[in-house]
Amino acid sequence: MKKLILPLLILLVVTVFAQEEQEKKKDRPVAEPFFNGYLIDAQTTVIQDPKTLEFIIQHKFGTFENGSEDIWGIYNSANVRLGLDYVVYENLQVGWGLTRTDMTHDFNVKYTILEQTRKNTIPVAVGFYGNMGISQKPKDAFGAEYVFTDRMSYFGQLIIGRKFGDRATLQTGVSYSHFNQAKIATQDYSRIGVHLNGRVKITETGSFIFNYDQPLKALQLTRDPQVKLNPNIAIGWEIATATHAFQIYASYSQEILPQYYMARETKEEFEFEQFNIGFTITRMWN
Amino acid sequence: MKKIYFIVVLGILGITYSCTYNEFVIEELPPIDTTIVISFIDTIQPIFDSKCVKCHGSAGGLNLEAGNSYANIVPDRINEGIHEESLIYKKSDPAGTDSHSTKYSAEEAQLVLLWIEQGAENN
Repeated sequence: MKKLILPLLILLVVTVFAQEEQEKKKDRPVAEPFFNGYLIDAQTTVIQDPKTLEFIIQHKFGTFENGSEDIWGIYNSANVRLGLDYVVYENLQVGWGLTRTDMTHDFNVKYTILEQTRKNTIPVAVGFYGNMGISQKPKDAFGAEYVFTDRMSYFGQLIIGRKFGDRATLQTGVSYSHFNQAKIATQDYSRIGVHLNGRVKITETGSFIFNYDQPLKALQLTRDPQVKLNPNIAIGWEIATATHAFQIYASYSQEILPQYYMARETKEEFEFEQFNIGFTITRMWN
Repeated sequence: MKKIYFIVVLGILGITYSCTYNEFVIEELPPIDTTIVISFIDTIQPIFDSKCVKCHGSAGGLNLEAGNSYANIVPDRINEGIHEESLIYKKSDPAGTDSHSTKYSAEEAQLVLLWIEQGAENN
């Protein structure tokens, strides 16, 4: 009898592992944690199917500060980004965009390392997003000792997200922003930040969306009291169809590229009148 | 899949090596003759015409077109105590930190600041 125990145990262990392996294979990613890769001006862990091309328009009007004089910023000077994203492989996306601030081209990459699964085999989604911005401003805007790399800025972010039930998805993240050139009396080269954003689906096509980005003091070299590390807060509403997403929101920062709202935001006061209306429109082809 | 990892690693290395820490060094200009009276109409308005009215025109918000600009700047965008803090200077100061997309050239900034120092007259 004793001779049989060991082979039986081995058989049992092998069977259990084989069953787990089979379950893992059957466990599919959760459906639509976010409708697409953009959430206001942040990124989600969502990447569309391979060979999907997406066109993005991001637009932020002026601040509310002039009130009805310029219809709460609608007639005031705006910021805009036009972008194209393409999914080259499963869970790997590359993109390019043009933003008005500093006349910046951005080249970006997003990779979803893990996808949350329905049976909780993988409880969270994990993604990486990075971009490199190249400013197209004239040379003399970079001062007397210009070199090409002065034009470059970077943003890297690790994102962890989880869908709760059928309606709510929350994401958190940590990021690093860097600018190759800084006016060191009042600017930092680099900044670390933390992020929290999410979506609550209210109707079949409509969702409440929010975003919170907090720059941190770590790596802050300048101690200029004018440099305020105000959070970038945004709340909005998303309407999604099969190939389009439309998001309208109110946000604190008028910047669109993440390294700018994390490390180059210049607003000193955190007040309601410093918020602005913005929208994001995406169109997919696959 | 190996190809993707190779490209990603190459990309990360490329970005790491292109990260630099360069201090902005302001262009040194010959000192401006402060005895010359700066005319708003002849000197300052042409700077607004070439740099600002494209966005700050009659469409709404701040209007910097000739005939409207002075009333929209003085006194709201002038800081009589600390001239460098005047919004009309600070927002587009090439050595400043404001992310406003259009900046004066170093020479234009000098002229705008001197005009403010001379009392921001409508001359």
